[in-house]
Amino acid sequence: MNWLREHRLFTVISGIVLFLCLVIIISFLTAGGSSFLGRGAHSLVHKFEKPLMTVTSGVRNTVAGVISYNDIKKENEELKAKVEQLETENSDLSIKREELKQLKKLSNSFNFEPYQGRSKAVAARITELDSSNPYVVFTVDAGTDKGIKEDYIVVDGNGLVGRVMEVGSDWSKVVSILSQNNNISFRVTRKQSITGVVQANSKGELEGFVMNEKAKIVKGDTLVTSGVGIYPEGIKIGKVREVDYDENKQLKVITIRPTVSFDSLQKVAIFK
Amino acid sequence: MSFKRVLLLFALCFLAQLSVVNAITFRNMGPDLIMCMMIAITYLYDDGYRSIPFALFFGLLLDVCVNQYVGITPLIYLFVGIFATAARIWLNAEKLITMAVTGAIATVIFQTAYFIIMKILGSPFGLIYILEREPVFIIYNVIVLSIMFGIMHTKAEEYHNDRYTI
Repeated sequence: MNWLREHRLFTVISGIVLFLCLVIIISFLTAGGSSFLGRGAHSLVHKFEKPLMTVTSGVRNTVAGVISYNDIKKENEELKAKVEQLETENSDLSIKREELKQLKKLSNSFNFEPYQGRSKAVAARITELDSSNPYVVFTVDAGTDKGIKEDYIVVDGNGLVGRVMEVGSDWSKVVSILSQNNNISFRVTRKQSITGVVQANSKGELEGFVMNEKAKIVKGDTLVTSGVGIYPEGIKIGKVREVDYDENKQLKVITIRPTVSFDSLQKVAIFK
Repeated sequence: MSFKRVLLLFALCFLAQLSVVNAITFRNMGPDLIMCMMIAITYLYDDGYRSIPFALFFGLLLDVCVNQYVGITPLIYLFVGIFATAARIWLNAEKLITMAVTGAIATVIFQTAYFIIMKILGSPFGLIYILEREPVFIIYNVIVLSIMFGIMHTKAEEYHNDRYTI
């Protein structure tokens, strides 16, 4: 005891270090989940951050709009051309609509449920994000109040974002696909028979392999989730950036650039 | 600097960190206001090391709100705080350049330590990926530290007899 009193500073620092190491271990064992106290603190912070983030997003969008005026103008022209093209396609699709109705009737008769009951999505806005480190974890303004549960799927207009790792009363903490080691099963949109598995690599991209080494997967191919695992079928993952053959593993290894731009995420949808 | 003033400054930094800072980020990278505030107070005030517990508390809150695992940020803040306190003893704390260099080294310590702990816990990111982003974080933190130095240096001189009254 005397020794501890004589070395008070050392004792205090060691105590704090040990306590924090214990907190990290517990947090790791509970897969990043917080205690009751942590959830309460997060709910309180969320009440302050929500209006602040609304203002910030507004300012950010206005500034970005002013800076990229020419780009927006160019994009507008492109979109006009695309609308014309889509209108033509739309008339073709209306013919197929009748066919779809018939198929839906058929699926009901088989009790088929698309996305295993996850067909309804909840829209959410990012309210808290720490940009002082490169690990993409953020909080959104939808929680148990909107029926969100852990491991629900998070997407945005461009594709797969990640999954819900913790849920509060009116907030959820989301971890991106780039910050976790989970395998994501995929298939190629161009040729549905080409399947494989991808996961985050050390460069902030996705890397994986194709099941059939003879499958003709090429640079630029779009990958979507195959429905195996926690992610439902048909969500866009990314585009193939590089295809290589690993002689040691005897597998066709691919590098994928995610379609989601994690730098500019503001709104997401969470699948129930 | 009084207890209340330090608490208020850290609370403001914490709130701004999760929201306002995102308006000035470059490719989702921005400054670490809490760490910068801790270094600035440690440097400019005689008993500035007493700001470290505040940084630990708000670092813990930061982890609870937006980080994958809780406890990593305050643990590294502690090491950075000790480093800043030691640097203040050996270097000239009155000069902006010394504080800027301390801030740059502190950023490297923070990012590297965070990477090591996250790697142990199973993060897929590689060291090269982290180091590639390091210059942006350093630039941001040095800019923020310079602004804080500019504002607080005058205040520190004005209230040079001010001490904590906890």
